[in-house]
Amino acid sequence: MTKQLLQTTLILLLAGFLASCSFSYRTVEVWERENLAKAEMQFSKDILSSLLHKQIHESKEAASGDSNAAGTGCGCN
Amino acid sequence: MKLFVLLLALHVANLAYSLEVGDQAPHFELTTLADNQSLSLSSFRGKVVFLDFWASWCPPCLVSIPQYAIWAAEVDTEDLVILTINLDRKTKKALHFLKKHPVPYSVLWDETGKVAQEYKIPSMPTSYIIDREGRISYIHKGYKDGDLELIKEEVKSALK
Repeated sequence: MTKQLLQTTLILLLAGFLASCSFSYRTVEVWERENLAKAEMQFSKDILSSLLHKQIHESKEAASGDSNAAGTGCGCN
Repeated sequence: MKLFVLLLALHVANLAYSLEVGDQAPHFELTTLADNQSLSLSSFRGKVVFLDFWASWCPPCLVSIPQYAIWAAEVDTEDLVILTINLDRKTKKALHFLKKHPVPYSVLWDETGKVAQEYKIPSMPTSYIIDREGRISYIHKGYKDGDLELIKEEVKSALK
């Protein structure tokens, strides 16, 4: 009985912890992306060159995607 | 379970919320970036207001601001007010940019992003045309070459 109570308590605590993680999630709004827009935050220093390499890679592999993540960059345009 | 569904619905509703054409433009009162003078949107009631949100770290914004400056010098300020709201955390870079590219209109500073939050701006830059009754008549997201002509046409329609 005590073991079962302990297990239930642990599960509830874990669920509570995970729920608190999800509720603390907050999107960085477009007007808050000053730091993300800095040059040192970019994967590549030369964006045009990296776009060209990406296009070559995609045409050679006949596949695209998985190179971007939503919500990054300065949020411009 | 009911509480969970309610919270989920509230969260989704919050994500989906944004201002649309026809909505009343949220009121704001901010100070100017350069000389700390207070200005409010309601003081321009009866005029068409072109409102642009920008920041010094946003490359398309830096293209748009000098073009708006040229446009502002041409327009009749009796009927149209051009206002921009800067969203930099610190004023130094914005002021440096404005020193190099002076503008003939008021530049306000939204230090905390409160007004941007109220307008729920979807991208940087975002511009709004607010009609004489204070309703949003046009929303322009982003800025690229040729966009100013489109904006001018929308302003003309709002001025009719």
